[in-house]
Amino acid sequence: MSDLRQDLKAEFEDPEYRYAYAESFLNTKLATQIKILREQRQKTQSELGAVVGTKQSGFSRFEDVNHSVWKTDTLWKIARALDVRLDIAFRTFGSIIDDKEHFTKEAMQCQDFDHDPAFAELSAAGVGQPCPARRNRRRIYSSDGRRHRLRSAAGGTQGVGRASGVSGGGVGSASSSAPAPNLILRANAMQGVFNGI
Amino acid sequence: MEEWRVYCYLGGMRRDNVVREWLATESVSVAQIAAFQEKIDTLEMSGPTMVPGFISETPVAKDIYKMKIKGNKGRKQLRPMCCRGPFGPNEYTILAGAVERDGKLVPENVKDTARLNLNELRADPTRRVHERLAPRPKG
Repeated sequence: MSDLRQDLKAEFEDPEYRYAYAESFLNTKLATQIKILREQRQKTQSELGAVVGTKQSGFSRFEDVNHSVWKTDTLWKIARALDVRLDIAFRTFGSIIDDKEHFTKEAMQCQDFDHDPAFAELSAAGVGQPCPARRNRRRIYSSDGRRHRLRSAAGGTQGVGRASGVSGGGVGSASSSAPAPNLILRANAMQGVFNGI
Repeated sequence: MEEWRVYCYLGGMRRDNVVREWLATESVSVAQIAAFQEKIDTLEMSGPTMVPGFISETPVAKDIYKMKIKGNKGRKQLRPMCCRGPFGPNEYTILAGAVERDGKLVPENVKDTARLNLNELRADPTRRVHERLAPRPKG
């Protein structure tokens, strides 16, 4: 590992090299994690493609490390299809080494909301079960996928939707959480949404 | 975590890394070499299942597989030829370089070259090297 650190330190002196290397690793991570999460959910490319709005051949491109043109909109759709949150962060070049060390199938896997370990204990105890009215609100949000403004517990309004997935500790947690730093697709997709209801 | 190794075939008098030579001959950009090296690094650290689409699942000729490094914005479509092993389960050896133009490999005989080099390598295991592909600093 220290060899790679030394090699990259020398190679990254060239800005063109380090940006291309980082871009390539981002593409590798995205494609690989999409494949891993699809397989974790035991879904076919056709099944997830239908949810995302593309054919099997189109979805297979998302699982190819050479795919390099990612639209944020598409990533949101894929995150929704996998029931995870999307996390986008700016990072140091040196963090690539740490990311590579943790680049394993196990580290890339994450549960959908219903199996999210962060909430499992609460669910078992019956805490935080939404009342029927709140459940309806959630259903409206889930089927729409667009921005809504919902009344918060404090009586004000709070934006939910795309912005909630990017903000709220996404950058900070990406650099500090083990064992899989800089995961692009993370579990707890809807946490920010429910906090605001 | 299982470690993998990606080697490069040594041509000539066992001194010429054919991959380095090919990258230089094709004037492959620094950015593409970086992308190529990144895929190799990830493969070496995490295994081939963690770089889906990098190496063809089916051989393009007997024991020969195609690596794929996409070229955007007019860059070359790099298609180096490699084999599994041939001396260990967790290794690949890149045997020859090629690019893809209009769906065809250039040079056309690259599969034959790769096959020939694989045979040479099997007969002489010292005909390969493990080294990085980044351009060496001048001077």
